Amino acid sequence: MSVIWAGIIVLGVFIYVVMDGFDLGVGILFPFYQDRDDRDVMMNTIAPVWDGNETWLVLGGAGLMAAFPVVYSTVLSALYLPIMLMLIGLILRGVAFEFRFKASEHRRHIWDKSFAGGSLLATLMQGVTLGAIMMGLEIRNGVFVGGAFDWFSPFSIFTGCALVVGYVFLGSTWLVMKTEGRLQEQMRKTARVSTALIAGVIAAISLWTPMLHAYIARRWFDQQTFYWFLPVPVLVLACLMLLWRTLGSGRRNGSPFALALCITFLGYSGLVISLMPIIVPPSLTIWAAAAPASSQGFALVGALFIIPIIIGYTAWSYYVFRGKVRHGEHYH
Amino acid sequence: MRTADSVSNHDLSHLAVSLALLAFIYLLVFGTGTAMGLRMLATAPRKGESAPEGSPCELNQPVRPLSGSASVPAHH
Repeated sequence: MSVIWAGIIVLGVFIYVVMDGFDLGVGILFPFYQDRDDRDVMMNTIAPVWDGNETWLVLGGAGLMAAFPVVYSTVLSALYLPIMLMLIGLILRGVAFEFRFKASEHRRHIWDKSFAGGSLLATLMQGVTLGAIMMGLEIRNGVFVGGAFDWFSPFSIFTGCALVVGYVFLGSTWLVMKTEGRLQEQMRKTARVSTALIAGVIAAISLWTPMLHAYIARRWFDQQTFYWFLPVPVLVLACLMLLWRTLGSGRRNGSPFALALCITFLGYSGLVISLMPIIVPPSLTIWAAAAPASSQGFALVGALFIIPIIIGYTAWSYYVFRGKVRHGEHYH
Repeated sequence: MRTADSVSNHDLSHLAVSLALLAFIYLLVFGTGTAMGLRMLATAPRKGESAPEGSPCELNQPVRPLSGSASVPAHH
């Protein structure tokens, strides 16, 4: 049962990273596109779907509380400040969707800044949270006993910046798919730059992570399992090269985003391979952190009922809003 | 378990700062929303304005409270 719940949370967080990833990325890209109409188009590509994307963050959090309460309480205590800042970032960018289109000409720039700044802050803090969890939390008897700033480390700052690159990467390939003409051409260039950056970031994280904990190095470089996990880095490399060429050719619309999704999936699977079955490094496993089987079972009934519904309406809303977004189309 | 037993070991100062920050953000957001709402109420109907045509989900029909507050294009 713990394995099923770990699977649900891993899946929920992955869907969140992918979906809120591209729309936060669009926000971070805002300052690089000054034209008002371009900004309207960029925002309109995500306006119908962004709030649904954040459902998965709530699902991941609620699932964690039901299935692994120790993780919920220790992670949220240890990372209180970054998580609060992330939520404030999400509030600032969320209201910008409503207010920006209604603000008067000379006030609109406030909401542009709140959209871009909020997106950047939320992304940075999510990356810092991930990095801090990877580093490990000091837990004794199921209680976090470290300091309020334990999360602050070179590695977590790096993962914060790395996630910004990752989300810009997803956001720019998303915009290649959703826009056309001059804006799309510019997006292809941005996407190419972010592809080069993400390649560097993936390389750095792949080298740095095994140095954090000996068991991560063993997982990847052990004689017996080395070839099992070798396809992950090989496929990442193949996808990156294919994406670089596709963006250079300037013809395809959807495939850059599809390739970016593949790369995100591979990177995320690398993370899961590194950690499993540990849920909070250095030593808390999913079995040690599990809630009583009766609680896990009770919550599982609800989760298995609601997840297909969420997937259903999400797929439907993407289907309804498929295709290109054009200048002058209004958000109501 | 009583509330006092379940308290996490955060510094008072961190909690105070984050609470103040949240209060500030909420005041800002809801203040702006209220200002936009008041502006909406202050706008008198134009002379000879007819009732909006079509169903609530069609173009140029405001579907959320704020959609009505500013330049919704009159006719496409």
